[in-house]
Amino acid sequence: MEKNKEKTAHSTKAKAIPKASSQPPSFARLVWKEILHDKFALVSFILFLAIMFTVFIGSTYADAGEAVKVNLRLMNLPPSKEFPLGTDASGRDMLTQLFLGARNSILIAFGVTILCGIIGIFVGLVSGFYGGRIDNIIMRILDFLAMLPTLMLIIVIVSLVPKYNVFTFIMVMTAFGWIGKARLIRAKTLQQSSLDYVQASKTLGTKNIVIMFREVLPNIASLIIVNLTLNLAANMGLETGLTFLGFGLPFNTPSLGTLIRYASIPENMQKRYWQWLPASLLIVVMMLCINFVGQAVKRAADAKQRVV
Amino acid sequence: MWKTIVRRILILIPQIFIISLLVFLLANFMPGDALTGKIDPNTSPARLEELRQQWGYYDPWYIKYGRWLGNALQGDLGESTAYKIPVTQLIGERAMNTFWLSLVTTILMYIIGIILGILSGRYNERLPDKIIVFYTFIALAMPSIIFGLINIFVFAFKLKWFPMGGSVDVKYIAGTLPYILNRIYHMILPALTGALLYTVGIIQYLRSEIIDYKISDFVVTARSKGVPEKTVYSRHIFRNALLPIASSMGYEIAFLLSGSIFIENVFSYPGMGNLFLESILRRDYAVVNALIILFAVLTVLGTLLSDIIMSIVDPRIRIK
Repeated sequence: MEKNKEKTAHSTKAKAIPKASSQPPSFARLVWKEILHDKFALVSFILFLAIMFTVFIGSTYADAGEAVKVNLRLMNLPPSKEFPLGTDASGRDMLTQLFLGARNSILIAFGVTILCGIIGIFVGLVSGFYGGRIDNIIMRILDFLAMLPTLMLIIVIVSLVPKYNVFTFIMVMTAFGWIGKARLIRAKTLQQSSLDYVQASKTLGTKNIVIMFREVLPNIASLIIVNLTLNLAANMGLETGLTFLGFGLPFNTPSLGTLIRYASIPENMQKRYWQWLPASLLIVVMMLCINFVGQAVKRAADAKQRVV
Repeated sequence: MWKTIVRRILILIPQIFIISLLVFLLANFMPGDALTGKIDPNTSPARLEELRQQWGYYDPWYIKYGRWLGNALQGDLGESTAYKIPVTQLIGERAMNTFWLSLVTTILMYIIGIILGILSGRYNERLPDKIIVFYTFIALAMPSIIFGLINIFVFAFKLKWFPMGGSVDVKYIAGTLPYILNRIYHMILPALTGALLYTVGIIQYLRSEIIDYKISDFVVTARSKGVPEKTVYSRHIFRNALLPIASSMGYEIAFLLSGSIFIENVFSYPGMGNLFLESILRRDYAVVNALIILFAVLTVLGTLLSDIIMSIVDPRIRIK
């Protein structure tokens, strides 16, 4: 359905004539061309890199100990020269907290997405490539896992783990996040496995593991990258949401979710916009950037949708 | 078709068994028990131990599970330790709140989605379409909590058009007309928040369907016969494009019933999502167990409902 939308949206524009060459262009190059062509994607891409750069530079200079130190004399100060984003009810600098929080949120989103991708690729490839009984068993398990109320189980597990930090939180989110990936990759692998090149490779006596990872995987790689890019934004949203509810990162570890949580106190929401608005805006901007870039990557992955 | 429905429901039974066992084991590992937190200072530790023995706190998990399952099969899901009322009664009260909120959200979602989707598809590549496509991008990137907070900030704090949260003001008496109106008044803002965000799927689907049908053979034929453009859209294109939208209703309802945790929390709406969060914080595991199982069942039933609707509206598709 997405495909059709994009196809018709761009069918009016003339396609550039590809230069004659013996090598097909690499996927990275196609993505780059697509991003250059789409102004929204280009701006998003630069903006996202700039945000990541600022956040990581800012958080290395930020003193984590200083950020959580309570100083009651500096309570609830509005933005000023000394504190560009003001302070919270414990006199902590909001800018430092924003840097540290954004860094944690970005790290978690990337960590969860990459881990889910790895597990999904492995399970999906095995299930789709071998087929038969193995596929049947794996699919039944996946069907069962897919009907679980994921969000609630994550909340239950987070409340169970006694000492959790960024790492355990990534693990808990991954535990439920890979299921969708595995199903997608299994479907694509199933398609590829019936093609001639796989049969030929088998006849030549190539090891299954080599066919799976060196031959089938590169052919479905672009689809996986598209899926993971769009998934990055979703994971970021899920993390902030969970932390906002109080079932994500602990309160003393800043995350964009803990910062948005300041707004749950009516007093803060009404009068102290500097405590919750910057974090809220930052996450929306980041998710928009990822989505715009993701759309460009998606077009690059599908020859029918490509603009350039 | 009936055979399929019955089979799907039969498959549900072992699944629910496994889920209930899983959830029960998780709850068993949770720290604290029903007596934690409300220990009367006058009760001696010895008496507490005795109570724990008596209630079977030290029994191995399989005995506990067997006991719980036996009761559950008779419709007794235990008693909420926080509210001191049976779990079924407690969930029943909250479920009605969530049900009404989901219903209003679904209706708004379909109204907004169908209008915007049709506009976007009909005026494809023109100004309305561009604005709507941009809107879908924003809505996709917007976490529901932030959109909820912004709405509360603007419409409840600044403009004072809507209440900040809750489900009904205390001054009204249940069952009267002002009471019902007040409840609807409380529901508008959370429902709109959810509807504006979750409608994106409907818009995108409808848009691409309409764009596809525009160039399909039967539409070209209708046009060449001289059917007016307006009739081509209303009688030929929309009728076909709208059918699949109906089928996703089951998914949407299941999603809203279980996925409303964020919105209920932001608007402090006393529904099942908020009950779940409260129960976890209060270590009220009987309620947590029951809610998770309920949501798992709702997910499966929602999927089934979608399949059934699909096979009714589109005779080409029959579930096998």
